[in-house]
Amino acid sequence: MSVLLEARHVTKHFVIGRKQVVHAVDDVSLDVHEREIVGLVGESGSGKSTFGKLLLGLHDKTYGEVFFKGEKLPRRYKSSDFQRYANHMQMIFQDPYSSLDPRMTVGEIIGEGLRNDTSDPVVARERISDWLSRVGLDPDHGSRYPHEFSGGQRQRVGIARALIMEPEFVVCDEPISALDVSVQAQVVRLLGELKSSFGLTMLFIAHDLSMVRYVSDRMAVMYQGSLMEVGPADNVFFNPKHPYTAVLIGSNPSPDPKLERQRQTMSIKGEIASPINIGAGCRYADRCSEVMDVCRSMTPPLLPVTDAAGERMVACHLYH
Amino acid sequence: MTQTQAVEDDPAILTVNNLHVEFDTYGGIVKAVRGVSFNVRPGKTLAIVGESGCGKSVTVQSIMGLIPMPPGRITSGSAFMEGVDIIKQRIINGRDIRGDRVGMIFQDPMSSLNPTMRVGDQISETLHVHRGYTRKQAFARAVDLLAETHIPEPATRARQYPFEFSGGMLQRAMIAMAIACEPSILIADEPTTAIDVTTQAQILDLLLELQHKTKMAIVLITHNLGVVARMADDVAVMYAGEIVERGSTDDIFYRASHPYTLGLQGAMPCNDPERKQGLQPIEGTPPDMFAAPIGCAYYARCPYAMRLCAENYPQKFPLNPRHYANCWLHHDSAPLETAPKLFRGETP
Repeated sequence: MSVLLEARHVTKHFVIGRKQVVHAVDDVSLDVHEREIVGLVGESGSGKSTFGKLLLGLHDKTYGEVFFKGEKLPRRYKSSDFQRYANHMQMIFQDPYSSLDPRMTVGEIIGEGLRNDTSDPVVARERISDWLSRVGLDPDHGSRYPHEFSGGQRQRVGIARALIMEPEFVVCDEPISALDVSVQAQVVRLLGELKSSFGLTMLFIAHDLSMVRYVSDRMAVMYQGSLMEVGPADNVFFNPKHPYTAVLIGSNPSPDPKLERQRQTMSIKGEIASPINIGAGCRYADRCSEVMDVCRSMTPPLLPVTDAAGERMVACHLYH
Repeated sequence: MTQTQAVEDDPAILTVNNLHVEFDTYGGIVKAVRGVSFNVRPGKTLAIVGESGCGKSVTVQSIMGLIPMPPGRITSGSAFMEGVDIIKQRIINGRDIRGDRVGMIFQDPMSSLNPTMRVGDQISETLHVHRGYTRKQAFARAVDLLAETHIPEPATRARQYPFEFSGGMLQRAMIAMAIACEPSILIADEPTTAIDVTTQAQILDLLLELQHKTKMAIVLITHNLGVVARMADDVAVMYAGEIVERGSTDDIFYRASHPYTLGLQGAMPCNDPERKQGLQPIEGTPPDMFAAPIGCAYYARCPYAMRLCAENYPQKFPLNPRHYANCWLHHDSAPLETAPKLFRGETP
C-alpha cells in the first residue's frame, strides 16, 4: 500500500492573548495509506478535530507540511486551492444539525460542490438523485429542507455532500457522536459499504473507542495535541503500550456485565491540564502512574516499538 | 398472567404503576409515556435504557413533577413511595420529596447550575431549605460534600462560580448537591453522556462508592449499554413510551427476550478480541408518537414480526419472577424456528 497522505510535524498554535498560546496540535506526524481507515481518538480538547481540519486546509498550519500523493499542500489555502482540492479531499462534520444550511434544499446542499465540476444542470440533477439513493434516502427528497429530516438522515446528507465529489480522502469528524445507538450502526455500515465500493481512505475521528476499534485499520491516540500511540487497531485496543492509552481503554465500559464485574476500575486521576503555554516534558506526566524524572524534562518522541503483536509507534520514555 | 410485582423479594422503595403521560403540541397529542410500571429496590441500581425520544426522561421527570403542565399531562398512573402517591402529593412528613428524599442529577451540568451563584451556595441552598441549617452550617456542610465527591481543595472550590469548573467537576458538584440531604433515591438522567470516557469512569466510580456508603437506590437513565453493564442491578428497556423488557442485568445481557433488546446489542460494537462480527443496525425509525401503533410498537422494525403483531397489543410474558418481555414470540403457538437468539425461558 502506498502512502496517500503524509503529515510531517504539523503544528497549530492559536494565539489568544499577549504571551498566551494554545498548543492545539503540536508536531504531529502521521501517514495515511491508500484505502486505509485511521481512527483518531482522544478526549475532548485533545486537538483531534483541529488536526483533521489542518489536513484539509480549514485551518492554516503554524508549522509543518502535509503531502497528498507526494504533492506538498499549501500552508495557507486560497479559495482557488479549496476548489482545486475539493475533488480529492472532503470532510464529514460532527453535528448534522448545524452543518447543513437551513435555507438550502437538500438537493442544493449535496449539489453545491458539483458547480465546480459540471455546469450541466441535467447531469448535476442525475448525480444528486443517484447519491441520495446511494446513502439510503429517497431520490425525490432533494427538494426538501434539512429540518424535515431526522438526525441520522441529515448525517446521510452530509455524507452524500462530501462523497458526491468522489474524493480519495475523507476526514470524518465524529460522524456518529450525535446519533442514537441503532442509527450509529446504520451510518457506520453505510461508510463501510462506500469504502469498499469507492476505495475511500478515511481519517475517522471519534471518542467512542469500541466503535473506532470496530471501524478502523489503525488507531492513533492523541493527548493534548500530541500523538501518544499509533498502531493496528486491535493491537492498540487489546494490548495498549502507552499508560494513557491503557487508561483510556480501561475507562471504556464494555457491554458485558460479567466482564465489568471482574474488571478493576482504571479511572484516571486529576484533570486535563491547560493547553496554554505548554513547556517541555511529556504532556501526560502529571497524571501518569508510571512517571519518571526524565518525563518532566524531555518530551518523548514517537518511536517504533516491536512486540509479539507487531509494530507500533509509542511516545513514552518507558519504551525507549 | 402472573403479577410480577407480587414476587419481588425486597420491598420496593418506589413503585410506579401504569404511568401515562401526554403532551399537547401543534401537531396533535404526543403520547410520550404509555403505561410504564416499574419498581426501585433500596440500595440497587435500576437502569432505564432506550433511544432518544423513547420517553425515558419524561417518565422520571413526570414522577418528579418536573414536566411543564400544560402542555404536559399525566393522564393516569401512580408512583408510591412510603405509602404516598407522589404524583398526587409531593410532600411526605411535611417536606417536599424533591431534593430531600429524591435527589436528581442531569445530563448537562453546565446548563443545570446557576451561573450567577457560587457553587457552595447552590449546594447549601438545599440544606437551608430542607434541613433548616443556618447559612454558615450549610456552607460548611457543602464544603464537606465537595470533599466527599473528591473535588480537590473543596474550601476554595466552594467559593467559585460554575464557569471556573471543568465539565467533570461540575457533574461532581451536581452529585454533591443531589446527595446533600441523603436521599433514598438518586435519579441520574444521562449523567455521563456529555462527558469524556476517562471522566465518565471517574463519575461512575463515584456513584458506586456513594451508593455503597449510603445504600441509596439509583435510577440511571442512559443509552450506553457499557454503562448499564458496569452499574445496573436491574434493567428496563424502553421503546416508544413502553417498557418492552425488564429483568436483572444478566437477564437482559445474556438472556435477552425481546427483539428490540437483541437489536440494541447487535448495533453496538463488542469488545471481544475473538469476535469482530458485522454491526447489525436496526433498520427504520421509531414510530410516530402522534398516532401510536395499535399493536406492537416495534412491529415495523422487528425482523421477526408476525402478522398478529401488527394489530394485537403484545402481552407481558414472564420468563422468571423478575424477568418479563412484551412480545408475542413467547406465546405457546409462536413458531420456535424464528428468532434463534431469543431467550424463551428455561426448558423444563
